[in-house]
Amino acid sequence: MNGFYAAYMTGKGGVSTLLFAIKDGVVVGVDMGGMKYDGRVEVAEPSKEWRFSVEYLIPPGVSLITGGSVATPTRVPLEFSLPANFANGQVVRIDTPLGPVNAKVERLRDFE
Amino acid sequence: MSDSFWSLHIGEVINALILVATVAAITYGPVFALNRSASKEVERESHKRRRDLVAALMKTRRMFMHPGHIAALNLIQLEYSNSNDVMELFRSYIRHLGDVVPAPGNDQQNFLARREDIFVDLLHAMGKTIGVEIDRMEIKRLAYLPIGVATEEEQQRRARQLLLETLEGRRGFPVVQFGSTAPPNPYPPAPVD
Repeated sequence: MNGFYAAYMTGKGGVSTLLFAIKDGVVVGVDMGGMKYDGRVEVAEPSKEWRFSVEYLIPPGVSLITGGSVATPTRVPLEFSLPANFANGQVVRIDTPLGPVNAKVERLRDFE
Repeated sequence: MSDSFWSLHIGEVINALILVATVAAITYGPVFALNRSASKEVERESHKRRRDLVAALMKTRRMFMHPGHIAALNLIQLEYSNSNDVMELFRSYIRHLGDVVPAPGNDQQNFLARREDIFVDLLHAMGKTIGVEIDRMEIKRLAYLPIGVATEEEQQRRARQLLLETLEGRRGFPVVQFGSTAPPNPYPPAPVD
């Protein structure tokens, strides 16, 4: 589970790239728009799904890939599950409070 | 009987008058001829300039945005200042050019038809001053402007307008990548509802 990941994301309003790291259940990352992600992830049994519970901070004035923007810094909580093999290049859909996003996740390397 | 010293014969008077007339002719004749020649030259030049103006407006009578057309209009005041008919029509035409064109539709068609009528009247009056009688209807009917030229002018005008809007930051510049050298796109397709 631990390692560095890149996620290529497409929404209805554009595309973005997210770089994040997972270590011992902690998830932290940042994307091209300057949004910061922080949260936790755990593997559910017996499905082996990865359950993410993160919060991301949207800076004001940034164009969101889901469309629109915010006038003040806004924190958005987000919970979603991904299949165990989500980092194999498949397209996974994530429904955020601001709209749906398609993502392709790639595992870059581990910490060693 | 002999004549007194101061008495004159009629023949002598005539000779004296001829002498005076000859001296006057020798003195003022060349000056008069020169003045007359200069006056003719001025008239000829004026006629030529007026003819050039009429020709310029005839050539561009379907091209109202043509620089030659605009320049010719602006010279009318200079060349026709002593022609009331032309100046009255010129004033009327310039006033009409300054009016706001109505929105597309019947009003606009009538407005533009009226503008063309005033212009044709102006051209007709200008032609008369140089001895050319041009039929009003023929000025309209025999004007030739290929659609291709009008289209090209419109395209150039539109291209300039779009370029200015782009340079002034009021319009984006669309960029499309061609060929097979494009790197593979790592992004997935947009989600569908």
